[in-house]
Amino acid sequence: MTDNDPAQVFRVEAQELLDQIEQALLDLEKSPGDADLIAQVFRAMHTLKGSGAMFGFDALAGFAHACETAFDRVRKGLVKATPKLIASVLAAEDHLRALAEGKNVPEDEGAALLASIEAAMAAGSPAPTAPEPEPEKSWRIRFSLARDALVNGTRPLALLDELRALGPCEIAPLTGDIPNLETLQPTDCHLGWDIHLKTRHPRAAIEEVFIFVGDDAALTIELVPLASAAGHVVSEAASPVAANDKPAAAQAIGYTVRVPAERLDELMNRVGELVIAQSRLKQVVAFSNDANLHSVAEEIERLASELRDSMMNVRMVPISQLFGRFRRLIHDLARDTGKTIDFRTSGETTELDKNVIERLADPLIHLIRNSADHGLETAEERRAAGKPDAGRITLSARQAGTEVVISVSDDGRGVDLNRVRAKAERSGLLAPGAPTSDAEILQLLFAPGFSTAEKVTNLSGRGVGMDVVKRTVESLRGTIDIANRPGSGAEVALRLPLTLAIIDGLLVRIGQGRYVIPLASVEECVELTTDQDQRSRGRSFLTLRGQLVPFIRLRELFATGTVPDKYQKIVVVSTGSERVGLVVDQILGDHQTVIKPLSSFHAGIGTFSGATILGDGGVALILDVPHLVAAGQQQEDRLRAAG
Amino acid sequence: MSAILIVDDSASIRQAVKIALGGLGHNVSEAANGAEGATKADVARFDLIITDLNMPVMDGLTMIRKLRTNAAYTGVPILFLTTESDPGIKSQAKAAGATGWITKPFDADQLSRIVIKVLAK
Amino acid sequence: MHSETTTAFRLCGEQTVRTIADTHSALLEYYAAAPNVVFDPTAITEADLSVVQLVESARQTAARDGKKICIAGPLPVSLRDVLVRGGFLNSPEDALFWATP
Repeated sequence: MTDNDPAQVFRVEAQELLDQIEQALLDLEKSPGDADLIAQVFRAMHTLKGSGAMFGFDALAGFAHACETAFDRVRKGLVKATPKLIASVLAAEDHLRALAEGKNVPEDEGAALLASIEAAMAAGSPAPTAPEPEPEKSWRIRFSLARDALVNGTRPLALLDELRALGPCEIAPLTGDIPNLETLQPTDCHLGWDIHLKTRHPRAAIEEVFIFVGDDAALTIELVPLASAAGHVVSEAASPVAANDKPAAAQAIGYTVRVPAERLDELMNRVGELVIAQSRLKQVVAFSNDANLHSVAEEIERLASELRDSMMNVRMVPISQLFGRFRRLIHDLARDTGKTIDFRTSGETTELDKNVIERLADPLIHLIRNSADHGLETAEERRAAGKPDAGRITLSARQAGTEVVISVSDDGRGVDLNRVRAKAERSGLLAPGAPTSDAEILQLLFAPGFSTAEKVTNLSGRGVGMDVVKRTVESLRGTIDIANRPGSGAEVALRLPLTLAIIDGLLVRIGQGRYVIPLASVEECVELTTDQDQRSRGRSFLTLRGQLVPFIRLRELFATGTVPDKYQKIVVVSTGSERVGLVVDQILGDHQTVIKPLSSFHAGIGTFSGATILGDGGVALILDVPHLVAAGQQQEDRLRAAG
Repeated sequence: MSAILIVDDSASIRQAVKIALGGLGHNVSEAANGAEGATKADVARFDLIITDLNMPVMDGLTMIRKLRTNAAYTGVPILFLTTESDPGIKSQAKAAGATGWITKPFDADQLSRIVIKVLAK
Repeated sequence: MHSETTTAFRLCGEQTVRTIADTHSALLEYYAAAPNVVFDPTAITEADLSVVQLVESARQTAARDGKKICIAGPLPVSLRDVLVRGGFLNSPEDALFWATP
């Protein structure tokens, strides 16, 4: 499962580091003096430089080094983290991303970016350059360890190895302090070493080796004139310090379990196929009297379902991944529109299927752009309307049953319904003067090609309209709604199923056809006797524990033209607060369903959300519960209105 | 891959250590205080123990002393977490049998470097 | 060859700071009885500096007592590794002591 291509591992790591840098920079913009944030940027740049160099991303390492050097000065308080500096480092971060992705970036772009960072740094100090390597020096190191060093886990041999890594060494053990056998405490350490080391590294690097033994061991580190050391035969192979870092790094790569997304998808497909095969097995076994076969089939069913659940869990990722990306967008939007934007997020820990999250990025970018561009007013307009200067955009996520609701809301001017109507009439989407409800007008926003922007701005009108947003959300089996509060803002809510791909379903028969009802929305199944059926004609309600629940005769809705079964069933489904009964002819049982989206030809049919292939090769349509519940409620409203 | 035990009463410190060292491929176990750490260390053999000093039930120094009386932990590195580079605390912990220390707060890099250093035979 | 009357002191299995105290006790007994000291390190599977220190101690004690001392048999990998890394084979004298069968 592990991906052992170091370059790929590095790329993934680099993306994460760059995300960290970006977040820290954006936070830094708010609290410019925050030492922790500055240190975070510095450390991430430092790591990026180190790993980049190790995996051969030299250009990236060099560039990261320059940024690191710049931030080091900020860290040391020599330069202030001004908005200008933050902006240029953000730009540099984009350059680093391109380098990490291996894109061909013109060299002068990097130079220009560095120049802008330099310019942003206050005192116009000289361009950061790599420090001159120190000249090679010769050192004499003597050390003997504390008595309890071996028992306490000090590894003198490892210390000697670290010294060898600094440069050519001549190592002589000192055994003179070892007592005779009779008095020897064999677990005590009586050993010492005398070492000649030639290295370009500073004294601090040598001291670093002895960090844990320095204070309770006898340690001397002396500089010796080169001439006196020249005569020594260098017995140990010289190994540059990089050689020392490599085993550790290689080890880190070997054990990292980062799985490329494609492999996860592949695995998901296999699990999907397994689930179908298992369904078929179940149907075949149903005709058998073989108890052993039944028991094996049950075992496989259990395993397949567990496997599916684990797979689902693997695919669930927190939405914070997605939300994090928008902070940068807001930064850019604020800069481009000249509006002050107070961006808030909530529910970042809400988890969603990885695929859903990825496909939501573009729609959300569009919605946020819309809010910033059209929704929020300018500071003057806001002041006039008695609102604070900073416009607020809130991005929130929460789980509601089997759905996740993601909403983008702002406290801007809201949608101007008159303007939408006028625009729709001009473009022929709406007959002039036709009586239209507010809700219907809002729906026009999703019509292909509709855009309320009078002038196409750089930010929104980019050919991607709300219709594309709607289509994307619907392809994810989600729905989109707008809540408009004229004068005080708008909220666009996306409701998405927790996961794609596989759902648990209840397989039912209506007439000759088989249909799947998502099990998560099924509340209960009750019988509808012929008697009840006759009595309820005209008023399709049943009383369920004292509550009236409207029901829909699917046989009639689908116009099957068949005679109802003698014992029809009502499957009561709900979407949170609202319930509706679906009358079916027969309940066939549980069915794990791999959802195939309907072709675009059928996409307009609201009653179905997809199709699935059954174990016997037949096809069943998956009922769209929210749609049916809404239809049931309308029926109820009509009847209520009629009295 | 080495078996590492992190003993700290702060779940977030344990988690931080776990993430940093798990990333290096080590198998990291947790204990919330010295007593729990000593018990776990008795049951399983760890290649490295990282411990906080101030903890409820049993503090880190007591745990280190206890472990060092166990032949199985002779020569096994034990690092302690310390907030300050206080030489007094360091020498006390080293006298109890600690191999070295990690200064809090630590970053993953620093922690990895130290762990690689002490795990080297 | 060394004296036929001398049986070798066998160093077996793990010879580290964890086990060295036991080896030390056994060696004291052996040393008291043996006219000369012969170490057989071939069965060592794991070694660290403590066993090197123990043998060095025996070497000094033997020099004091006028006993002959030597290592018999090829050095096992784990012991050889400790000697090389610790620089114990760097002087000709030491190399002769440790590495000559």
